[in-house]
Amino acid sequence: MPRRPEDLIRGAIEVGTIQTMYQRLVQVIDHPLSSAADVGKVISEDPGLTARLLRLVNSPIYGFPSRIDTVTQAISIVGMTQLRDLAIGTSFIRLFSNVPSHLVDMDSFWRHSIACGLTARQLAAHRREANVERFFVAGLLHDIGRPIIFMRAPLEAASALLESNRTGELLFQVEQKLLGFHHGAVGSALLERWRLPNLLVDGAAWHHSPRLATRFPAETAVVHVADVIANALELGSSGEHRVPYFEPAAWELLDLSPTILPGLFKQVETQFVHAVQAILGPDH
Amino acid sequence: MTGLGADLELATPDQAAQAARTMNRWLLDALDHVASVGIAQPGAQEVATTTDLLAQAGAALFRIAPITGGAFFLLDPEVADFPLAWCQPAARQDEFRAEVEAQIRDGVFAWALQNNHPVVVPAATHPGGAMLHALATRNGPLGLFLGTLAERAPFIPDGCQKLISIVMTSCATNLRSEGLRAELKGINRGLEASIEQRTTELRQARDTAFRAAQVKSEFLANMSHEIRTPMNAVLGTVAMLLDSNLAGDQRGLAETIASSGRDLLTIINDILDFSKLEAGKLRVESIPFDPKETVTSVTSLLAAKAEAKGIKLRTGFGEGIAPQVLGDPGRLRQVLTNLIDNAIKFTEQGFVMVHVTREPGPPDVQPITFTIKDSGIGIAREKVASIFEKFTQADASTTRKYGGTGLGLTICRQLTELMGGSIVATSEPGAGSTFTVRIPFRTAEPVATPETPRPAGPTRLHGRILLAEDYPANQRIARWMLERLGCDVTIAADGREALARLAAEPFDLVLMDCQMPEMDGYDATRAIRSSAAAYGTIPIVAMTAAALSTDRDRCFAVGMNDYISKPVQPEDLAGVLARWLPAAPTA
Repeated sequence: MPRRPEDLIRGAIEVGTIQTMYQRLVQVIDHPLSSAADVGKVISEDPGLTARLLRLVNSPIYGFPSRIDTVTQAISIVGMTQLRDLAIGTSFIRLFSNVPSHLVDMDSFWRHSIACGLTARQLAAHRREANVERFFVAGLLHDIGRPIIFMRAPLEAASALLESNRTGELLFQVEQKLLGFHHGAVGSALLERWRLPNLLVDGAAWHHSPRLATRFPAETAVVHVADVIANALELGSSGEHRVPYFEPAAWELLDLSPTILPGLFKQVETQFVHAVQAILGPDH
Repeated sequence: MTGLGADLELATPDQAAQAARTMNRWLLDALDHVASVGIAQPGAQEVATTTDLLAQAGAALFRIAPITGGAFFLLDPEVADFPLAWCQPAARQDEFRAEVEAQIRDGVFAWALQNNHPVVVPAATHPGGAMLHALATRNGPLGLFLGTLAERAPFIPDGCQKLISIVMTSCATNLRSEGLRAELKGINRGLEASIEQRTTELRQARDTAFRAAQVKSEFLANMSHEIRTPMNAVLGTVAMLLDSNLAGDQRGLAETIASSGRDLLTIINDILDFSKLEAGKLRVESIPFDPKETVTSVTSLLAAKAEAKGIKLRTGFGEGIAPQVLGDPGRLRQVLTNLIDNAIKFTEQGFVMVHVTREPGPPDVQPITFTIKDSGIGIAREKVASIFEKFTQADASTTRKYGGTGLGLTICRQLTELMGGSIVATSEPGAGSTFTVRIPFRTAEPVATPETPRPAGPTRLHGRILLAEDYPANQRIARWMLERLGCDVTIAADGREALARLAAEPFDLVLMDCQMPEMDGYDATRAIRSSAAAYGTIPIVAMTAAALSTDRDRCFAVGMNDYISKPVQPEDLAGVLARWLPAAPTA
């Protein structure tokens, strides 16, 4: 029986490739003498990643009017930090291919994550955030703790699912009851350990209780609202089959007019198909 | 800063450290430029122009971004177009316009507008490419910045990109808040205009109301003239009647007419005074007078009335009352008469005491307290406070029993306050009332020549008097009064006739009615005073029912010497004439 979230992530996942790639990207971007070409070169070393990124930036989600053929070009158009964040986010998906499939449908899991990411990205765009891609990735990774629970504590995960189905309680609350912590804590511990941007760490940690987010209250509120919307739109599922609690104060914090929502829902639903194909592969 | 092109790992630690220091310095400089954007604007009195704000942001962008030229295109929502609003260098504006056209055609413009970071794309007109950045707030896009990059443009580092975004966001926010401020100013101007309009309307309404009140008080003043003229005749005729030989019962009837007429005159005077007070037309005078004498003359006038009811009217004076103070003896007389008359009216038996004392005060002020105490019916405690209100008597039945307009005490209070004083009443039902009037008279300068003492005893005068008066009844009364005083009387029916008489024979004095047909008293006086003849300096005494002090001023202004108010009372007439005519050699 795991006592702390850290027990679950220790040695849990082989993150070697991602970590190496991420660290090199950070190094290149932070290097005073680096150029777009240098960043492009690092990404290009991973042909799969390169293909996914180019598919993504050429998808209607971005709607860039002409074709983007190189990572360098993508950087000058989408932005350097933005592309780096996208690279990290999409790389994660490959890591979780060996999750026991009888417990959770990983395809559905990632669909939910992509829907949440797209919603967060749209909300951030309405807030005119400079790096909307980071919100995309925060949405993409907000539930990353859940597959870890499935892999590392399959018995507890199974009882949690059964219990949640039986009582109608939200899954994260049952996790909390059975484990003493829920997937948010596991996800944030993982992202923290990989030294990913703090916004991603906090988004995962507090997406069910945005009021507790002190470092990035508005940004965490974006993830919270996006999670609720993605669940409500029923685009994929992370194992949860009910719409989680909605915190009205989080919506207030976004300082956005509710009139944007109908258009936003439509946009997310349209972009969803393209994003799934770009990230999960053309046959999805 | 050009890219290494090669593996970063090949850069030596020294090279990297050197580069980091360079980068650090550059960033600090750039931060300075960015920090200066928009600093001068908030709180400034004048609305900063759009061009000022764009130029400020443009200057910062030139310092931090590797651009060779730049232009702002601002959204014009009316035509849904993005005209050029600012550019540098100005000579390249056509080139910037062409480039933006190309970017709009390619769709890059629209794309950049949706993003909040620099977008670097190939340029149609420029080999180095272009950098586009939206100018937008959360409420929507305001425009776009287009910068041209040098042909071998250095890579725009991440920190620099963020600074560019900060400059653009700050500029957009400033533009929007200036827009809002201008809008606010417009609304304020609108508000000021409507307040101005309201004020004008209110002023007009107030003026209308004020004019209406003036018309009302003028009407009352005119009415008072109309009422007093026949009253003059009634009282005068009764006086003549009483002076003739009457049988006992006839005399009693005539005396009733006389006393009722005097009561009616008092009521009319009350109403007139009240309407003048209401209209704010009553002015108090400041002339030297002897307060003791004023009190004595009032009490001696009312002594007969008290005596008739079997009531003792006593007057007492304290120490230190100045022989001369500055104030309005006429109005003081009016207040005291009213209060003492009231006291007599409401006392069935016992006494009315009038006590006058001087209160301590600064050297230029002579505060005098007049206390009128009676042993009458008194006033219920809860009603004492309201007796000075308009149209109030302590009891509605009072009016039936004692008569009166209910205006007397209101007038007393208003007159007292007009003289800068105060009036209070204390009373116990059945145990009498006490009215205390305090007036701070001003200290009078010592008078060098004392007034000529008025002749004592029944007055006998000698002189030829021209009486200008149009109302036949009043002509008869005035003639009777004047002849009783020992004067010769000639009558003129209007001003024109008076002038003819003066030219024809010599007179010692003219008694001039002010309101006459043909030529009124004012015009007649002006004509007399402008004449070179001997009669040009003859004393003229005005007689008028118009009782306002402005009327008196008008009399003096046209050159009259004295003034007597109608209805003319025999004693008043004697007093005034005594000032201008020699006393008869023998009685």
